[in-house]
Amino acid sequence: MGTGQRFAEHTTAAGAGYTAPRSRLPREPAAGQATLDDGRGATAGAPSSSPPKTAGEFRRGALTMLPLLPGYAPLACLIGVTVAASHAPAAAWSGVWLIFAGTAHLAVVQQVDAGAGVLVAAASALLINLRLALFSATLAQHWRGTGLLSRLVAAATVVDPTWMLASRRFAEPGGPAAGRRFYFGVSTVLWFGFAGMVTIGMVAGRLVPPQAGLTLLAPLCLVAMVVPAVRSASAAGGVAAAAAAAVAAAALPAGTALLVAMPAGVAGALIGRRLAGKDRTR
Amino acid sequence: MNMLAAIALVGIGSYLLRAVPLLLVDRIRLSPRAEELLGDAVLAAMTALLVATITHLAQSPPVPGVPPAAVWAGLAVGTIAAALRQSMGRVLLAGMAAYGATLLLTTVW
Repeated sequence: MGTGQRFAEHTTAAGAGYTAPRSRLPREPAAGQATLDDGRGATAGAPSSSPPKTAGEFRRGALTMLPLLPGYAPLACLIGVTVAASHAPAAAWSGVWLIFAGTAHLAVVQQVDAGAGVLVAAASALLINLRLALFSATLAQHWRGTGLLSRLVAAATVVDPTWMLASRRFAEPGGPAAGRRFYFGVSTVLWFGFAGMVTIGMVAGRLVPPQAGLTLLAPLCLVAMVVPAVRSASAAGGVAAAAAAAVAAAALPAGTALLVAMPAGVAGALIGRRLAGKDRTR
Repeated sequence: MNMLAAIALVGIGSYLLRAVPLLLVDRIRLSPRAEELLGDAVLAAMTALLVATITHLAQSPPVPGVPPAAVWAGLAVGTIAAALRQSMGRVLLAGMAAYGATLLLTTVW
């Protein structure tokens, strides 16, 4: 998806003026470099030209995430219902905390319940979560020079909404420290809020009649992610090839379609990109 | 036991996927080409999941009292909303509203 690439370019530009924390790397900013303070060096006697604004960033992040939580309620409810119907509900529920990625969690629970092998189910879910490595890679530059604990804690909650909100915040003025605090505020609300909603879905989901159409929620969520991403010839080629491969592999064991569709999608995107390039050169 | 093992494997793997870039940020940087390919693979994975869920919807036995037309109407309207670049919440809302409206209409008639 082009989003990650664009974001990477964006944050690379935004982070160009980043100054490493003074307490760890005591070097002066280069001449002409913007002195974006990371907040650690905030002192009362510092020049007041651009005071660091890290205070309240955690709260701001939490308050930004809070109204978005209901948007994830349908997915959480669907996971809750699936977990409750699973043959091992307690183990399936633990995925809320251990995986903390709705689609992959749903996929692994559904596949194990459908009789797929542990390795096949896990591999499929991990393939879905490959995007998290990209998200993490694009956020990582803002954790340069920070302590190990901060990185380890941040890594636990890198997922679509935290990445999206944090990326916007990192692009704003204020420095990496403010962005990190904002990120942790977003993460905390999502972490506990999503787990709470899944648990409510487990308990109350059974009360929802089948006519309520909960089975529609998963495809609709995926439609909302896939369709807007088709904005270029490469994306269209990738989606078309992946869809064709997934249909062709539908009869194969659970999870296989994903393994087949990913390289097919990459190949389709490459072809689309090449064709678009030829069109431009004509 | 299988469920717990699968959840634990995915949990550990997912954490590593998230942690490695953060831990190695000072040493490794993905090339734009690698990011592009990874982005293509992510979109392909989501597409495959979408196809799988739609195939599952088409093959599963109909819910009593729910005509298949309601499900397809919901999906169609959701897709149109997504094509119009609406947010996920609005796509869900539009799809579910179409599903409910079709259900109501078929029940009345």
